[in-house]
Amino acid sequence: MNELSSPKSGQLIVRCCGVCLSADMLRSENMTHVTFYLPDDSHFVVEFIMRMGQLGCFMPVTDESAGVKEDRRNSVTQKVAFFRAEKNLLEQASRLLGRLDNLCDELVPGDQSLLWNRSLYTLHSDVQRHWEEIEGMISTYADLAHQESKISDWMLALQAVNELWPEPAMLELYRTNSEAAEGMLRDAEHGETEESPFLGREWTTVVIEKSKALTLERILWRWLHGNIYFHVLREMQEPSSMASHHDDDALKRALAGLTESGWPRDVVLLMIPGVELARKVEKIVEAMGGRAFAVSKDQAQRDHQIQHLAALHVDLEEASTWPSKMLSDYLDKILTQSRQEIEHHLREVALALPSWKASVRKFGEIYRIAEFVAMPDGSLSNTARGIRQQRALLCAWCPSKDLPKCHSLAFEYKHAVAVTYVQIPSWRPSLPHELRPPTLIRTNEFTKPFQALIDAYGVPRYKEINPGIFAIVSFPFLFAVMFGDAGHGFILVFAAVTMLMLSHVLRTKRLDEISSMIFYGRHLILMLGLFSIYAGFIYNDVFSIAMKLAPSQYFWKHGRVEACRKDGYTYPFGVDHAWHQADNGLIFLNSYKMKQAVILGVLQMLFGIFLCIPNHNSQGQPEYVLVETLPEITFLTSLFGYLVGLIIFKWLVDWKAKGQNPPSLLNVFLEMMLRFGSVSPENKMFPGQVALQKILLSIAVCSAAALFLGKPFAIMLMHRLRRRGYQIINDEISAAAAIPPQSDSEQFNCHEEDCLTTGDIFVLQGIHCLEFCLSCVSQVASYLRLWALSLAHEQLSQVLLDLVLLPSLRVQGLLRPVAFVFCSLVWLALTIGIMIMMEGLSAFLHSLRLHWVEFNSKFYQGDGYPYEPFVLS
Amino acid sequence: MSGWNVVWGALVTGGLCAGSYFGAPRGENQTVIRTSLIMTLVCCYLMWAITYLAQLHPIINPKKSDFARNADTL
Repeated sequence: MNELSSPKSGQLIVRCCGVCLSADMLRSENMTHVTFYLPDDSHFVVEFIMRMGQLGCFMPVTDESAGVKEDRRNSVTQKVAFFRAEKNLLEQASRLLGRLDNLCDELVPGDQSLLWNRSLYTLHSDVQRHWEEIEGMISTYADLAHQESKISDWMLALQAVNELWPEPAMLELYRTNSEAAEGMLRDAEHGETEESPFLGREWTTVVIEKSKALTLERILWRWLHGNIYFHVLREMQEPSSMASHHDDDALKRALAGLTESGWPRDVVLLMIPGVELARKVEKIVEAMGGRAFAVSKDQAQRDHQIQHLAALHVDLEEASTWPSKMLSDYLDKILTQSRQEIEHHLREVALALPSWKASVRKFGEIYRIAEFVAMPDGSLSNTARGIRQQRALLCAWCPSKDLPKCHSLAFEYKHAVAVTYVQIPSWRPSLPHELRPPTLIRTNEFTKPFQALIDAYGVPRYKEINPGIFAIVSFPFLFAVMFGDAGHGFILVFAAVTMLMLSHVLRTKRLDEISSMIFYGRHLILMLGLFSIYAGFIYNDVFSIAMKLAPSQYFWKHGRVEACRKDGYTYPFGVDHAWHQADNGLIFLNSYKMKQAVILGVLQMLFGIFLCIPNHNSQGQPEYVLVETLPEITFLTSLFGYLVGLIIFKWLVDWKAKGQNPPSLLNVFLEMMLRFGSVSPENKMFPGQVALQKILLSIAVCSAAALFLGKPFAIMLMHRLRRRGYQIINDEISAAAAIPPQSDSEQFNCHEEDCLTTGDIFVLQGIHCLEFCLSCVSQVASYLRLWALSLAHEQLSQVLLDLVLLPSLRVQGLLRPVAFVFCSLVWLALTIGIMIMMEGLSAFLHSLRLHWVEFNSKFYQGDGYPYEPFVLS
Repeated sequence: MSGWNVVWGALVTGGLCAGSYFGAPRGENQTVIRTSLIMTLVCCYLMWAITYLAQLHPIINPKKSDFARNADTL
């Protein structure tokens, strides 16, 4: 086992596996499948995964090789039990951290330093300890506050009663003032008498919120059927000293719900018939959030109670006046001390909180990767298990370039870990599913957006030609053919260059979704702009104004409507500016742009078909080049290559000098299809046309047939050749072991669940042939959108120039500059809004469609999956 | 000026392509630089050649109906 992990053997494997195909944007990089055999220990597994994450070049995958499927159920339950303890700790820690986070929110901005080498256990115990301390302190404070408020309520009640029943000297006043009080006082003073209705009644004072006092009175009145005396003695406002306790917002939140609320309060005197009823009334009062205190009828007893209560506080002299400054100061001192302790603790926690949260998040990621670990099978005895069953398995994909990192990791743990490597230099259809590598295409800031455009359609298959490298030029080029205006191109370049200059500033800023997309594609926009400037020069359009770079090839004789052509001189670069002012300019431009679109389309499609050749070669199927790619090329060339040739031929012939009416290419092409073997006189372009057209049409039909029949027969032939080789070996083996020979059924592609039969491959190839032949026609026509959008763009910009900008110049007099400024501002706004944004987006979209459908369908499979390494930052 | 200009242009473009193929700096971006340069040259040449060919022997000539409003008076 140790030999497997040594770096030397690993390097040997790398060197042996042949020449690597080029590792750049043309294809995916080489990938290696690495399997780690880890010991059966959860702590080790976690530490190992942490180390893997720090190296950051592995993409863990599940191990689906044969032999694990049977005990998959066992390993899942084992896995769950194995990591359950850790996951519980993790969940607890996250919950506590969430609660602490709420408390610490506004206290202190936390320190970002990372305490990385805490293990999960120390983290969890720390967090729990802090939480318990804080909880203890908070509950102590709550108790104190609770007691304090109860004592003060009681004192308040007693004082209120004292006021009502003062010393005997004051009794005279009361006697004269109130009848009810008289009755009460007589009873109170002279003790119980037989006739008094309040014989043996209980006196209770209640301190309750003012708003609830009325409700309490109603409840008690109804419940006791009126046998109650309810008298509000005094109303109390909230004393100012209580407010100072809660000036800290954070502390307020921490202590929310623990302190009393509900001022102003009423002090109510109740007389209730009976001890049991009094107890029940107490319960009702407490349920409503008030407090009931028994009041002794004896004055002395009440005084004694007050003394006793005040002795619990301090300073009896000021206790009769409420609020008492010294009393509240003393309470403040106790409460402040505990509050300060809580604050101090919270501050400590707030400092450590961000790093704790980061640790918890990282452990969460580690346990996500731990899901990929295949657990050892516990059902068999130790001796019966092989290496696969004895150890925990972790499979990962690693780019072959990063194998040294893998070797160093294996070396670091060489006493405990064994490693195996499988190099996958190329893709084969027969690769088992778990050995299909992910695709890694290294891109930089410039190539990133182009690759993103292709990835949105489909990630390239492993070792397939990546169309992204061609999209760097072909995408902006097709965009420019549709957008061709040098002025608008300049605005695009200007915007792109601005973003490039400010990229170091914009990179750190948080942009909204659309702005961040535009910033992501700043290099793409630069390319679009540059190609548009070039196309603008070719189309001779700068904001729809023609440039006079060279003398025109036309001149107007005096009085003539139509221009004459100068002999022997062609406008050297781009479209002649004479067409710009002409009435029939569109006729020429339409014909020119349509033909250009067809030529560019046929060339791009041909290029796409040619890209199949390296793909077939690298996938080990070179015979497909002969039976599939070659018929496709001949079909396209014989029909649409001929059309392109006709276009160029028609351009090269001087029809006026020949004295012949130039034939319409459409008619020529249609007649070639519809009337095999004859050409009408007005469609004759060159001698030998009949023979050539006959040959080309025959080639096209034959190649269509070859496309349909070639590949299935090739597959069958290859299969039979391979099987004949194995058949000899099989016969020998079966003769020796008396095993019946393999069945004779023709089945191809049998490594996946669906085996294809002979009928299947014929049907699939027939579909492909039909699709290809029909799509040739439709996609060439689809390329005419290059003409259509370019026409729309040119017409729109001409409208903006002729109807918005130029009329302001025809204004005479002093208003001219004012009108010009105003109109040019409107023109600028419309240019940016309509021409750049709307038309730009439209051209972008259509160019993208041409790539995705017309180009990619010729060669691109796009069924890979991207390489996403596990990185612990 | 004749159709042969297109051929000279093709030769010039071919030469530039060969130059960019052999002259691309070595490094991890060599393929990207080569591909981009060659494709740019080919695309730009194509566009120019098509435009040139289209105007070599034009079938129609520009017509102007009103000479009073000349585009030169701007």
